[in-house]
Amino acid sequence: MKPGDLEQHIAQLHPASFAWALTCCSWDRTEAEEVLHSAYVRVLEGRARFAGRSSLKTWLFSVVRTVATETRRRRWFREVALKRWLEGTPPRDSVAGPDEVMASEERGALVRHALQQLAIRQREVLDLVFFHGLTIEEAAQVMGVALGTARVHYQRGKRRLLALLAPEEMHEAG
Amino acid sequence: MKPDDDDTLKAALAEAHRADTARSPSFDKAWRAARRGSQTRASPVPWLVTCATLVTAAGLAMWLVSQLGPPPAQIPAGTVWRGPTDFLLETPGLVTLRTVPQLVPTLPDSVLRPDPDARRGNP
Repeated sequence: MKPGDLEQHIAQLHPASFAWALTCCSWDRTEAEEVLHSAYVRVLEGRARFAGRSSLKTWLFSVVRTVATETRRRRWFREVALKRWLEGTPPRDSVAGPDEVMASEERGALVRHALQQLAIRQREVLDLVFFHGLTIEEAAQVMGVALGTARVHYQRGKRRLLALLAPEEMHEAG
Repeated sequence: MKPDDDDTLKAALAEAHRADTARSPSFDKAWRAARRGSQTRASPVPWLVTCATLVTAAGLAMWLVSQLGPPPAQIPAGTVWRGPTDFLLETPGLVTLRTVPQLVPTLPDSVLRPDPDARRGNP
């Protein structure tokens, strides 16, 4: 693939990549933008190279996920470990509280809150399959796990998310 | 799990991402920023300086080690071992066995090696 073609394909995938970066960063917009920027830098520098073993979308999403994981690890070290050690302050809670979510009166926020209660891998596999339209096999490639592992996360995540969303559905029906 | 559960989840995730597409930053802007970032980072000078420093430090360390010479010979700990049942061999007669006894220490040399002429009876 020529560099120009690659750029064009990445441009087409840009909105989806940003949505995926948001999922990887627990809907933190600033962090998602940083992650996407770093992923693009990695592509341009040739540190992430598309070898054609999977679809471009799968490859780009796996680059974004890798960068997001590294960023999350660095942030954890900076905010939690170092801050706690230096100042003795409690870590920042990235997940919004239920009251805050209820106050927003937005269904999307409620779903996001439910998603953030899932394990990271469960959230990722559900997002990749149900929003980005990937197969479980492709999701496993993006996440860098075995197909069986991805299936387990998919089943458990589905069950858990449905249980978390169920009271709301009942409330809407009633 | 019901078959329409998939539709429920699909709708829920679409809802969660509804605002994302509208909020996504412009690709051209993001790509240009990344290109700038890659050009600044791509400079090999810092890497070369780091590598040169490391090589010099390693060479200096090796030279220093070679100047110090071999370490003094020492019996490493644990090479002399005494068995826990060794004391059982310490019998009262062990002192006798450790030294070779002098059988006739007091006899003069002439007794031990007699003169051959005297035996034949010559004057």
